[in-house]
Amino acid sequence: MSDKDCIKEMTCKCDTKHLAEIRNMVRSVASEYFSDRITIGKVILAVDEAVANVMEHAYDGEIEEGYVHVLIKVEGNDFQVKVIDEGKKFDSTSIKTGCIKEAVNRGQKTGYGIYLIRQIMDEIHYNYVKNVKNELCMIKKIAGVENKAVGELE
Amino acid sequence: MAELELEVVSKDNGVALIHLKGFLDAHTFEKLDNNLQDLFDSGIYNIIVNLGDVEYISSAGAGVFIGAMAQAQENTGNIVLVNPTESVQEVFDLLGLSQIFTILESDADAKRFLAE
Repeated sequence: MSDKDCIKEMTCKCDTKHLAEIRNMVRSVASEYFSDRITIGKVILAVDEAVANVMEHAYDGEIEEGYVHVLIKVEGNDFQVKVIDEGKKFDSTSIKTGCIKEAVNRGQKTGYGIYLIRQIMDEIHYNYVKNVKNELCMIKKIAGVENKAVGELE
Repeated sequence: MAELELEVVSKDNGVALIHLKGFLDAHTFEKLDNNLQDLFDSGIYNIIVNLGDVEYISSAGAGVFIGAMAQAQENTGNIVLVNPTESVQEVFDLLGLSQIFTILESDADAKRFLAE
């Protein structure tokens, strides 16, 4: 599951007790590329939502069976996070943006994660390889990455 | 491990005051959900939740407040939130919850609001 260009990766069992470790990993890398702590917090939230979704739904609660893999890499000004699992197919269209207000108004407790990911990340790509894996790739654009590169050379 | 600490500070005149500390995510949200349900079961539907020490909230945590607000309002109650941190406020803004919940600066303000 490794990606040769990834900056950091983590594999853990599908147990929500590992969410904090994943958030800490994302924070450590995101802090290198984003200066705004609000943006860093949002990227952490988006990844947390994607991973929590896998942990809660991909393996139908069979935590002993399932693993989730999180890989972070940077290509140009793309801060890219992949969340990969081998569970059942994920319905990425399950929550439409327009539904959110109605869901809140009727007191719906769950189903806001995908909406938040869409609000936060600049690009989302979902790939399902039948009976092999789900791969959700989320990209946040890094502002001023060229300036940072020059600064590092100096 | 990132945990959630919860203290029911007071239960006076049908109003409960809860202080939260730590992380409100998919791992910890049930603790809050269960405590709110206990208050509803005991007939308390006006609840103040102080978020001043909550370092992180995800949609699982926000969902608890959304569900609780609906249940409180069905029973002519209210959920009032106090002093959310910047990161918590950001999530509420993303979900459009800042327009739905009354968010005040102090427990005293919240108590006065519910007494009106």
